[in-house]
Amino acid sequence: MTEAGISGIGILSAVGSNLPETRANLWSDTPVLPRLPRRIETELPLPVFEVAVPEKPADFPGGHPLFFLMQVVTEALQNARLDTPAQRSGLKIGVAVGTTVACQLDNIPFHAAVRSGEVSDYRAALHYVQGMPAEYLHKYFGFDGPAVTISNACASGADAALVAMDWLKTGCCDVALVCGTDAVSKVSFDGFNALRVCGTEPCRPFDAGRKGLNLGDGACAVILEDPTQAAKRGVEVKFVLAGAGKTADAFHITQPESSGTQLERAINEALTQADLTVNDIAYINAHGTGTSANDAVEAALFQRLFPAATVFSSTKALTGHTLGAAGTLELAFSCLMLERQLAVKNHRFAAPDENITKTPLTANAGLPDQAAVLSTSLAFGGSNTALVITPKRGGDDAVTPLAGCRIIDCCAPAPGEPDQAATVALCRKYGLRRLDRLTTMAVYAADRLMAELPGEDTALITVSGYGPIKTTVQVVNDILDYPEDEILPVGFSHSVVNAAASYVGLTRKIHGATLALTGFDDPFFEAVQLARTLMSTRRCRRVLLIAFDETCQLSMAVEHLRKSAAPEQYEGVFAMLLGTDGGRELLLDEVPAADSRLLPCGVPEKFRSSLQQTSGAVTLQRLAPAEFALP
Amino acid sequence: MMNDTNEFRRELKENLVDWLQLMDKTADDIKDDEPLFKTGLGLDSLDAVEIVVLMQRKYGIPQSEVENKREIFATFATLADFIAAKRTK
Repeated sequence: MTEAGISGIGILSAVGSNLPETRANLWSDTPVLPRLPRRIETELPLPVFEVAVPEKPADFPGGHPLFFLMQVVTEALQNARLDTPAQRSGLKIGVAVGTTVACQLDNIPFHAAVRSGEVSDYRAALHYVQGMPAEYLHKYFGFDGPAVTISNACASGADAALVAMDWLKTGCCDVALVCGTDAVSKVSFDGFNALRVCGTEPCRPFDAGRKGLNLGDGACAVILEDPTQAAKRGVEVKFVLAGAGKTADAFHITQPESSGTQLERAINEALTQADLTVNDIAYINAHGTGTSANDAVEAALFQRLFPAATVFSSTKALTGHTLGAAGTLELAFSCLMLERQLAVKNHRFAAPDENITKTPLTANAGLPDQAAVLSTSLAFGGSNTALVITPKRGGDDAVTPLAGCRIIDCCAPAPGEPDQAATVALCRKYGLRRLDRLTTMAVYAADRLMAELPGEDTALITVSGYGPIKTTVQVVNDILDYPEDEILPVGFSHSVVNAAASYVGLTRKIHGATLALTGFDDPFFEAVQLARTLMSTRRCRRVLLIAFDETCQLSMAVEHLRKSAAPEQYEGVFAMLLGTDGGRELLLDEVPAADSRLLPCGVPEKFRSSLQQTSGAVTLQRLAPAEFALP
Repeated sequence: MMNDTNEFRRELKENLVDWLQLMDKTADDIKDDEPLFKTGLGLDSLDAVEIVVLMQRKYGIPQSEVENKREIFATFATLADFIAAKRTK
C-alpha cells in the first residue's frame, strides 16, 4: 500500500515564520506571548497570537489567510524540491485546504456598501471568489489533480490531511498538498468573544485556571507522497501520515459530546489504519484549546483510553487557536517532535482541576526511537479528527483502485421548498430550532431521502459556493450596528460553513466522516469524486452528499461578476445518497464541459435532467471553470 | 408593584420565545419556577451566552454583572428578578 510520506513542510505561526525558525523555537522555555490585536480594530482586552507579515500587495486576491498560505506552500514546495514546473512535470498534484476565514466574505466595508445599495467597487467580491484557496493554488501553480477547500471549523486543517491521504491511497494524485490557513479576523474575534470562550490572559490548556482560548494567525502546508517517488528527486522522507480517522458527534452545534465516544471512534479508526494500538502512541498533540469543555473531554478520554506511558500536550499555548490552520500546524509540529525525538511541554499548565484526570507534560520529554504520535482535532458541529504520524515503515506503491459509484437515492426539492408550514413540521419532527435557511433546506432534503442510512458507516459531504451567507451577513450587520461586545453568539456559531452538516448529522444520526466543502469552479464535481474516494478507502459504505446555496443581496452582487455559465437558480438544494452497490451507476467525466449550472456550487443541468428522465447509468461531467471579472 | 412584576415577566417570556427561537413554545409554556436549562425549559449553553448578550443589548446590563453568577439562570423567576433589579433601560 502506498505510504503517505511527508516530503515537505512550510509553516507560519507565532512559533516561527518559516520551518528553520519553527525548529529553533518550538522547544523554547520562553515562548512568545499573545498581545492585544494590532491588525484589527477592537477595544476588547483579548490577546491574540498575531504574526508579523510583510505588507500585502493591494491587488492580491483574498485576505491574509491566502497570503499566509502562499508563503507556506512556496516553502513546502521548495523543501520537497517541487518548486519549479520542471520538477513537478508528470506529477498529478492535488490540493486540500482547510480554512474558516478564507472562504467567508468578511470584508466589512464591502458589506456596508452592499447594504446601502451603493457598491461602486466590486474588487472585494472578486477577490473573494478568486481567492477561494484550493482553487487559487490549483490555478496559480497549474496543478492538475483534485482541489478542495474544506471549511469544517476547527478541524479543517486535519481534515485536509485525511482527504489528501485518501487521494494518494486511491491514486487520485501522485502528490497531495495538505494545507491549513487562517488569520485573526474581526468576525471570528467578535464571534468567539460572543461565545465567551476567549481568555483575557495567555491561554492555559488543561490547567485548573484555564479561562479560555486565544485566537492566532497560522498557516501550514504539508506535502504527502510515496517515499520512493520523493527519493527520486533526492528528498528523503522520514515520517509518514500512517492513519487518519474522522467521526461526528451528531450532538450539538458548539458543545463537544462529553463522553468523547465519537472522538474515541476517530482515534481508533486512525490507529487501525496505521496498524497500531493505543500502546504504540508515545505522544498526543491534543486539540487543547484552553476552554473548559474541550480540555475536559480530551483529558478524560486520554485517561480512559491510553496507558500511563502515553504523554500529551497542547501546542495552542504557543500559537493560540489558529482555527482552520490548527490541524495542519499540529501535524507539522508532531513531525518536528518525532524528528528531534522530543515532545513539547504544555506551557502554562500548573495544576489540574477535578475534570482533568490525566495531566499534560510539564517538561519537554524525550520520545523513543520509532515512536508514533497522535494529533487530535475537535470542531464546532461535533466534528472529530485523529491523525497518526510514524517514522517511515516501508510499503509498496500499490494503490487502491477507485470503486464504482452508484446513486442509491436522490432528492431535488423545487425552488422555494420547504415553505413555512413544511419548515415548522420539520423542526417539530426533530425538535430543532435556530435553523437558518441554508440549514433548513439541507435538513429538509436529507429528511426526504428514503433509503436507509447506516449511521456509523455513512459519511456526509456538504458543498456550497457561498455557505450560510445570510447568517454571515447578519453577523456582519451586528458588527456594523452594535457595540463589539453585543454580537449574538447563536448567529456567529451558525455562520460557520459546516453548521448545516452538523444539523443534518444530528437529524439523520450520521456519525461518519463529515466534511463541508466550498468553492466556485465546480466544487460539486470534486465533492462527488471525494465521496467515491472515501468509499474506496473503506472509510464509509455510503455518502450523503448535499449541494446547496442560498441567495441574498450579497451573493447576487458577487454572481453579478460571473461572466460564464450563470446559475439557473441562486438558491436551492440537491441531495443524493451514494454507495458502491444498488441504485444506478454514476459515471464521472473529467473533461470539462460548458453546461449551465443549477446552483452557484455546480450541479450541471444535464446531470439533473438525466437523473429525472432515464434509468440506467448517469454521467456527471465536470463544468468548465467559472470566470469572474469586474464589470 | 405586583402587577408591574407580572407584566414584566410576561413581556420577558414573550421575548425569550422570540429571541431564542423556541419554536414549539409560547410564553405560557414558561413556568416561573421551572429550571431554565436541561430539564424544564430545556435551554442549552448556547442559549445561556445568547441571553447574556441580549441582557446587555435590550436591558443595558453589562456582561460583567453576570460573570460567574450561575444562580441567575436557575429558573425563569431568578432571571426575571435579576433583570428587573439591574436593568438600566
